[in-house]
Amino acid sequence: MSSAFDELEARWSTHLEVSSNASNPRAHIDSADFEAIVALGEPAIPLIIGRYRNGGSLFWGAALSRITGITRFGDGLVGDLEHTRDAWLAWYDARQ
Amino acid sequence: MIFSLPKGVRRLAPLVTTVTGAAEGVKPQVLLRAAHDAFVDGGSLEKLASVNAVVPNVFGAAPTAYGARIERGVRTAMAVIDGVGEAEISIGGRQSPSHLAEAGKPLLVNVGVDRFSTSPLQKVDLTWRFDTGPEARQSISDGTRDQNGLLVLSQGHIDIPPEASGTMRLRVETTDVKGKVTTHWDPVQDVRVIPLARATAVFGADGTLSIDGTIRPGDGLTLAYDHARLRKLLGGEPATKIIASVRTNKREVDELPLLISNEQGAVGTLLPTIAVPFGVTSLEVWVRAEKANGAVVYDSAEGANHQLPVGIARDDADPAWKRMVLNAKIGSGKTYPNATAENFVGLGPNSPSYNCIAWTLGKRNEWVWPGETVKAFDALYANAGYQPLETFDASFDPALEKVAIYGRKGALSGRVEVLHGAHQELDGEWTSKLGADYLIRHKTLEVINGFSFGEPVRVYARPRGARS
Repeated sequence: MSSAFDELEARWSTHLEVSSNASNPRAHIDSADFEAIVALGEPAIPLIIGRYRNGGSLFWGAALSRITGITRFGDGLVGDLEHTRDAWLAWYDARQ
Repeated sequence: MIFSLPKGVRRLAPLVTTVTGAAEGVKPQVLLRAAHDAFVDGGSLEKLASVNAVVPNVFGAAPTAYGARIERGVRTAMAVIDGVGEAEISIGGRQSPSHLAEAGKPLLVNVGVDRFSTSPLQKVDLTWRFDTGPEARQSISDGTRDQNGLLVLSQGHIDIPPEASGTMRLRVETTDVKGKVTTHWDPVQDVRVIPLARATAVFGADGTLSIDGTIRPGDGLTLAYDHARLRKLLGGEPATKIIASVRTNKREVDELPLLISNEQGAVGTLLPTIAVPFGVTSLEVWVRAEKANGAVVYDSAEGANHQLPVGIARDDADPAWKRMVLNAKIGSGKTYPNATAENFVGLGPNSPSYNCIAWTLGKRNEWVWPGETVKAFDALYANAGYQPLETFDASFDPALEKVAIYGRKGALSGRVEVLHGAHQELDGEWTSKLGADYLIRHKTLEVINGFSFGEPVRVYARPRGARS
């Protein structure tokens, strides 16, 4: 799981660099690798949280929302994405 | 020596001491400056802070070996100031700037003789430059060796320009007797420059807070805190410690001491100057004071903390912003083919915290995106009091605040897909946040036309002054 995630995450990071000037937030997750990360499901959550916590993309919230079906922190694409990240990290920590 | 070094505390490199007063005919005082960051906490620009200690001239005339106590969390450092800024360049070390200097002050550079081999040299130069600026140089050796065969090196003296900020690159260049030039550089030699304080937050004795100047990312901000405003909170007792906490963007907190004391009690006021990091959109400050019995009181605007407004950085404050935009590529072509060094300036760093549409609505902490259609944008801007202009008019009307949206017609749908938004400023120029990239000001809308954003397709306007 970890190596598969790492590969997908690296490729999605490349996509994020290429699309960095896109104003439409959907352009940042419009990637087969992002979809593949979401398809990994719940086992990917700790890995996503690790990236999210350590300065990774603010769009990780979109992946978590899709995987968990939880919408109370927003869709992870619009709004205060730093606040969204803090909310997801608190959610995860509370589950541990 | 006023302070002794607490056990386990690292001694900081000295920076700059300036004696003011005598020559200027004002009350003599000693302005002490020290700085901490790389030596305390590890070098990121966001953690830069300096401490200026304005001490009444009670310690004697010579401003040597005065100290400033610096704390962050549980860690404490002691800065010892004994003359001028100094940078020691030797072999090895950390892979990040290890030296601090202050804009408008001299920096002395000592190059370690152990860097050089015993092979004959014609000369050794010290070179330096700020970001992409021109390189300056100074000869520090003509190749002469002492009786032990060691190179005779003089001390480099660099006057840091008042407008300097960011990173100064220091290099040593040797020329051997055959004319071969070798450059010696390591990131550890770089110098972080604390910018001049161009704004002061004045916390008055009467409980007021006023800002002298405009707080801008990349500039220095001085906290001038009158201890008398704590008198009531302290119940008339003296404070043994007064610490200002400064939080940026609701995350990083720097703790800055405001009180100089010795065995006899409080003897001076520290006026800390912080370098406002690029990317900062908000600053909040609260002050904690401790009494001799350990009791703690807070000056925190009744728990809400003092909020300090942060404006936009100076034009091209970091030259890298412009460089990155000019060099941006999409495939084999330029992302912004119309952009030139003359038709736009950089105003802010890349930031994933907000996008262009948020910027047009005066927000710097959100992504806003109503959908891809013009209709969706009509509704969004209508909520903010904007109306679309019947004809495309990007001219400047001082009575109107305008926003332009960019887009491209879909090949199949024939419908315009919105891709970007820009805001017109008071000087008629436009500002754009480029997705998660940089904030820029461009002379015309067309500067950023291209594959990414298409071209301007619609202009909205509302009476100027309605922006929240």
